[in-house]
Amino acid sequence: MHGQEPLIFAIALIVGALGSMLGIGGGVLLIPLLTGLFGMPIKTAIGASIVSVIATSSAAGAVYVGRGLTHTRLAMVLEIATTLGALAGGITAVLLNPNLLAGLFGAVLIYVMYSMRRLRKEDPATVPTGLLTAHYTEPLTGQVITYGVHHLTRGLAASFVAGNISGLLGIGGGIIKVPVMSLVMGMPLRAAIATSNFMIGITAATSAIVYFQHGYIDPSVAIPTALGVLVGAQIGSRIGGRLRSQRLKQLFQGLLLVFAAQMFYRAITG
Amino acid sequence: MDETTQHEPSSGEAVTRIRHPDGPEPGAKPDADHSATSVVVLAPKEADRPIAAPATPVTESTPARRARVQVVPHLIELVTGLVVTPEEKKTARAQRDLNEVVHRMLIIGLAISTVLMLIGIGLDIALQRDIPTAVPDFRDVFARVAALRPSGFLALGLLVLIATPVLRVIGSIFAFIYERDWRYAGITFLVLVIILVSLVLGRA
Repeated sequence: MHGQEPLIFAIALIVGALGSMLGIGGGVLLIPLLTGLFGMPIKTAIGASIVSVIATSSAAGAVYVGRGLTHTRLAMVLEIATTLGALAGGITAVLLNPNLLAGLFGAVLIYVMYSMRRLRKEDPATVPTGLLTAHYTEPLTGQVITYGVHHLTRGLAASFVAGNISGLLGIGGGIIKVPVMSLVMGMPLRAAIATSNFMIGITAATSAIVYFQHGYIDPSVAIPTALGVLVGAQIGSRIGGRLRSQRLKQLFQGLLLVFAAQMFYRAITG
Repeated sequence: MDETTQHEPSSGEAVTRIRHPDGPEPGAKPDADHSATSVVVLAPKEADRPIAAPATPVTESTPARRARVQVVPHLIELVTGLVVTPEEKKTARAQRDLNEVVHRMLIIGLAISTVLMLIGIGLDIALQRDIPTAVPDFRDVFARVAALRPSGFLALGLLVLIATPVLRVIGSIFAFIYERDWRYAGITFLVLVIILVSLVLGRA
């Protein structure tokens, strides 16, 4: 891939901007673009994506953690399941047939497309349940919000699946975790996003260690990708408010559909 | 001197909550204050904090034990930036200190990683010694760094980036230990063990 770094950087920048405007990690778009445009092996694209997931999580974490939104205790409990999932996923991915990985990726893209239909902004009623009670200061109102956690077992199960998919396909997994934390576990959306973001970095590191040792983290791909996504996310968060999000969401869903078709095609033809 | 307001002025609610246990305790032993000032070089603010807390039942108050209790937290505070207050469990202050440690880990990790990658890119442009490529073996990474090869610096930069979330986990373990929250220290340690397993099982 030597010599193509500027182009990889530019594409990652656009993906990072789009992702941050929609609140979705860039991995779902990055991998189809890297494989489709550069003819890159899917495992190299996954390696680059997982590194950019870590970079994004760490950069965003510096903001969220500073605001005290992250529920570190809950994150660590769920992280037992997530890292186990990521470990299993990472080890499976390096052994798995690339065509099968492409097929699985296509299926995940369809799921992401579907799940975007019910991205909600309002919070469930938050009550201290006595389980892992935490609180944070709402930045807009200055109000201190105290909340507890429901259905920890279901949360653990979902976390394992999210970690597994993250390790297998090099995406963050927030698309699974945030809805579960918010809708099932009853966390305020803000805290769920911050906590999920914190977890994503740890999960991605677990599988990145596996990918690294198998030589799938190629600096000439991973570094421009990570830098591009980081810079793009900064740009995206600044222009995000100006664009009509409904139109943007439809565009994104359209892209996902195209990429899913591309991945299924790849799975069949190799 | 109120250390908490100085630390983060925005969290007004948290400050009022913890000011009470942090304030001068009527039962504070004079000798405890004295020995705290003797290690003032390590942590200048420590004199304001109750160290050997009168509130907690001290079972073995031998001089050796007391010295350990007082000196070890200072060292940890110096290394991690953690404000050590063993008596307060799960308070707003402890939570915030934990966040503060994690915050530092992130910024340090990202900065080191970026510097290494920039060195790698600089060497690549200046020397053209080798085509940057994946370096799967950790020992090989260090050998290449020692030989000033761009691929070594790029790989090491990536490794530091990957290690940053792991440092957050390690930082959280320390934070839980100094909150005396053994359960969560254990849970977080288990997470670290799983990550380390990936180091072994992930070998090609």
